Amino acid sequence: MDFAPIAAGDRAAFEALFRLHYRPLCAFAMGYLKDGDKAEDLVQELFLRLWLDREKHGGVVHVKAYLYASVRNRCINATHITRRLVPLEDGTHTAAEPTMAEDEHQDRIARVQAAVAALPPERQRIFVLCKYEGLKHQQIADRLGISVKTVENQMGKALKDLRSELADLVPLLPWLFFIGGGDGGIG
Amino acid sequence: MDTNETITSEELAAYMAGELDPEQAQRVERWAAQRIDNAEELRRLQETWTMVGSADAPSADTPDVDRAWDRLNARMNEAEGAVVRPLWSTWRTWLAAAAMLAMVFTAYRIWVNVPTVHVAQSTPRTVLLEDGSSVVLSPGAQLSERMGQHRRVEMEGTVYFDVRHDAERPFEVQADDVVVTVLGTSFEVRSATDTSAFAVRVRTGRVRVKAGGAELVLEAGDRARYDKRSLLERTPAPPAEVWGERILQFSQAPLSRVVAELERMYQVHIVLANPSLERCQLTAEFDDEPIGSILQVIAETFALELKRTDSGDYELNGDGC
Repeated sequence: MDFAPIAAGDRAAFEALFRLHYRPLCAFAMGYLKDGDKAEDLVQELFLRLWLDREKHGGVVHVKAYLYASVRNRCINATHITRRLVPLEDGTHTAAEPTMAEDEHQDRIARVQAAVAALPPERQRIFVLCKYEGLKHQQIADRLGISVKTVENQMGKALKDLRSELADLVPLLPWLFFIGGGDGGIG
Repeated sequence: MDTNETITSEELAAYMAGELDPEQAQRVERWAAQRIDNAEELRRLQETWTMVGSADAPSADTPDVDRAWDRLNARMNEAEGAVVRPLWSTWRTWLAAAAMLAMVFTAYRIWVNVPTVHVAQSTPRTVLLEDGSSVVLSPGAQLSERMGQHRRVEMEGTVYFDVRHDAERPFEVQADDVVVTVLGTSFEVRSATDTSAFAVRVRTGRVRVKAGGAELVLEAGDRARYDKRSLLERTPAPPAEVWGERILQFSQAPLSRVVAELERMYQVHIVLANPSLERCQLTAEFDDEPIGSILQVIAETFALELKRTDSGDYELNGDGC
């Protein structure tokens, strides 16, 4: 999806963009801010600026990547201001630099949370019950009043969605550079 | 050994979750051992599975997208409506020019009575007209109002009207070559210019419809249809009707139909535990009420028990009719 129609003032296209990304972006922001209301405010603010400055963004091609990068930057700005203040013994505050590894870890967590939040609601519910609450397929089927077949099917789709959404975070094996690993599709 | 195992994504997911029995799990491992691509795919899935586990579960109260959009939309409107403050040296000039322009514009509008146009694009839109009447435009509908000595609107598409009573100024709706005249009432007009099909239905009060030289007076519950080939004719009302965005009217509607309408409008799942419940006939009107209280009314009407299941569905149970 490119930004051209929105830059030209198409409100319906902007609404569609908002509805598509709002939840995952809030979950993404949550990964940094750990506060649902702050995360929502930050994403709201970003979309408001995007709309008001839409003409300046006509050249944005990878809208999704742009949105995530913007949320990340805003979150880091917001957290570094508060996080860097560490109390000193004399009661004043000083700045503490977050390490690179800390930042990277936080990026990953935020990406994972956004990817899970981007699953369609039913699929997300099933996935959360299985992965995070540790329920067996049969227990999930009983709890949601659906068949075990549906649970299996949705879990298959969820894992496939997550794998492609998070593909760039999975480290490549070094020998694959030499062999030129193909993309083994799953059916 | 089968050298051509095929594995589905369901099986791979079940493998990760530890849901496969040893024999099935071995099949997945054989598949991975067959080709380097398969092994890589399995590794990637395992990495993904572990990585997902390192984050917290998404919070239970996910943001309400509809509410969030309304909030953003309001802020967008507010920000765009705000006038950019001009420089001090020129602001008086701007102000004078704007005032002049507004005066000329108003005078022009009064003189030629320029209509105000309302359009609904992809979502329904509720608009308050100048006379205090309210209308709900369905997606794609268009309406222009001209409020003076007479209240006149021209429209296209599907529009629901709730007209404010004013005996001095009749309210006239023109859709293509059909004219509907009312004093104060609520009704809906559907008009499609491409097919020249036209329909009107009345919720309260009375309306007069004129088309192709014929005339009909319709009362609450009536509906009429017209197209260029046939005459204006009165047609029977269906047992379930929806008005505007969230008004539901049932007249001896079987409960199966009621449930279907409620599920569609409120995006919920309602179970009738006993098939004989489907035959119960409901006559009632609900004006934008929460689904829980609507179902409570239905339960009380037919002496049923209303329950919520673990999955959030509603269930009605009882002897039936």
